[in-house]
Amino acid sequence: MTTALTIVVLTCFAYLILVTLVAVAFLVIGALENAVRKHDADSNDFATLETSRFTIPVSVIVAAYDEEVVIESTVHSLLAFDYPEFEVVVVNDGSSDETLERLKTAFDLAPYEMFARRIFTTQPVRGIYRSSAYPNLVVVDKENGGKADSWNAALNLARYRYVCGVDADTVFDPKALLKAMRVAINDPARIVGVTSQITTARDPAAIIAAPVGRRRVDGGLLGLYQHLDFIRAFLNNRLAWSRLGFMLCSPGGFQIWRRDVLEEVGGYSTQFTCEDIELTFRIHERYRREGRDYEIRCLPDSVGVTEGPDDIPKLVSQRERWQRVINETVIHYRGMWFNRRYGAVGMIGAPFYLLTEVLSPAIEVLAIVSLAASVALGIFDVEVFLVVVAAMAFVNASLTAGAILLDDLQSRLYRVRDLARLLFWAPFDMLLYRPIIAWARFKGTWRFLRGDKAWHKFERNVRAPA
Amino acid sequence: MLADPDPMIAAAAIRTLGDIGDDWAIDLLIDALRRGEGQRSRIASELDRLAPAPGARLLPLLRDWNPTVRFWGATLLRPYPDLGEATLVELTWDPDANVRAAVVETLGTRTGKDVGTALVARLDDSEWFVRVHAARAAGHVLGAEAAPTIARLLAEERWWVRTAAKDALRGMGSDAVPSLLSILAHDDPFARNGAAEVLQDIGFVDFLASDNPRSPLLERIYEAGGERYREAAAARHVDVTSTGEAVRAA
Repeated sequence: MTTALTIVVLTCFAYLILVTLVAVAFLVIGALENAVRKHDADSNDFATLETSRFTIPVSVIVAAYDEEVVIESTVHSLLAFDYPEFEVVVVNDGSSDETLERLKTAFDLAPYEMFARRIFTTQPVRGIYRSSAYPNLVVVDKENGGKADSWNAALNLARYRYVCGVDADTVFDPKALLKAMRVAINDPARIVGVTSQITTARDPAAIIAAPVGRRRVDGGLLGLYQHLDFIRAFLNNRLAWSRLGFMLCSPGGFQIWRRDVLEEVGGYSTQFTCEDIELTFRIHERYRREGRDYEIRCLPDSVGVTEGPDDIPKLVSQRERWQRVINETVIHYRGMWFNRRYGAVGMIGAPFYLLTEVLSPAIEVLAIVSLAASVALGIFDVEVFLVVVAAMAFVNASLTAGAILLDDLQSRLYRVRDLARLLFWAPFDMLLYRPIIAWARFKGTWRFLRGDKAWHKFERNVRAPA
Repeated sequence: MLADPDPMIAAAAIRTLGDIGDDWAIDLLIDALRRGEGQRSRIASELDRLAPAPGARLLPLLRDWNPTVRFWGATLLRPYPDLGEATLVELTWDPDANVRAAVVETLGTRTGKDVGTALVARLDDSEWFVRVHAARAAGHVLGAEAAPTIARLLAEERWWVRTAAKDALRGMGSDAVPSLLSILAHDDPFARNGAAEVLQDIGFVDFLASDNPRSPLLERIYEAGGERYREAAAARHVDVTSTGEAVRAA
């Protein structure tokens, strides 16, 4: 019994060391990629790009289900993009609240019929609206079918060569499209997808308005830890994945795709809990299998702020959904695991997801139970246990500090006192935030095993009156 | 500097030459565009920003052996309506489809019989994206004269061509109405509903709905557009009527 317990604890410890080493390696590679992208951004002539008729037009698509609280500010931020030619297609996914009415009033919509291609079969469209105030805005009202179904409906109407899918709860920097599309404009034959850093806030519209160097980290301690989570996800992980050729998750908050690629792979899938990561996996699978030259790139530039849950139950609901979709996707594409045919995606990306995302909830539970039992049985001293925990907190805080540094080097967005606050609270992440996320992931895994594919949408945060 | 392997230096050189804007700087940019030193789209953006200064210096690009250079030459000539027309018309038969598309797009901003004839010929181009540009360009250059030919494209096999045809017909406004009405009886449902969509967008349907709601013509258009089309028109009509009543009451 004692030997078995020791083996389990040591295995968990080895897992922890492996994951930490990989995280450190990704941070180093991410730092390199960050420097390259910063250099690349500095060499871009955004002023000319912004007015040039050679800039590739983009269709921005957004799905809205019960988003009456945020829809106006989101659409206003999309229409305010500094970009030569773009359209915004908003799909009201059978909302039960006042989303459509808010849109009609705010943007002076009138019903018009548009005969679009039906490349993708979707739930029936109830009506199409155009704005007399904004000629580049189209609103589609359709029966409820989920986000993927809504994005497919928007794709049927989208006119341009690149499509940018965004979330209805995300507010954007006016330069967001320009920043992200610069890489596609440079190499449209190869760049099939682009994403860029988004962060989180309790009230995105209020936060994004702050000028460079004056932005706050919003939302109390829970908001702060979500912010850290996001910048780590982008700067410690996705940048390195992008550099290594396996950018496996273009997040739904901001993802640009070449439209012909979306058509070729069959659009967004409605068979999964969530569509973003699955689509990214599917495109990699297709292009790698066919040996085609392509790239999906992640940029470090902060392009938008998405709404982060402002209480723990909402956060758990969101993260358990993320866990479910990761499990669904990684297991669905198990044919890529350790498969040399899929290059870095098969040999590093998919196994990394398997190891750090799919298996980690089980390993975390095993580690907690076995460590507690070991300490209780006297296999390990409490001191050893505390030293291990302190070491983990230190490594974790160092990785987070690395992400904060990369973000600040790249953007200089945040106030110094907020950066200091981030650095101060980072080491306590393991005690104050990780347990919540671990619980959410465990719950997500449990629901995944039970076959739950529901969205479990949480209520929007309550805003301060304007 | 233009050929520097560091993109930051090459980009800075391009931008600096654009900012200088003198004849020698323009010559350097055109030469770099021809030789592929630095990013061609970025050089083209600078040359476009400098219009009308580069002017006739761009003409030799149309005769370059490299189709990419011919493409950029044709594209950059867009702001110069008096330059290179004969060569551009000739290039509508270029073996490279991208060049033909660029030429057609540039000719679309011009006027004249030769230009119109060349554009109409490209409506039957073997490449769909050339037909797309040709539809928009012919609509712009020839106006209502091209409406019957462009309306025919509402039944094209390629959706993008049908969309371009709709854009062109929309741009003609009420001049396109006779051609659109003739399409309402077309065998192809895409052509019928495309014609109905343009009639809606140019305001013809709303006009008929308020002027003569029982008109058989309006009924024909509704039939071509379908049930949702009819409902949208009715909703717009109600909105207009109620707004009008509110204004009168005020």
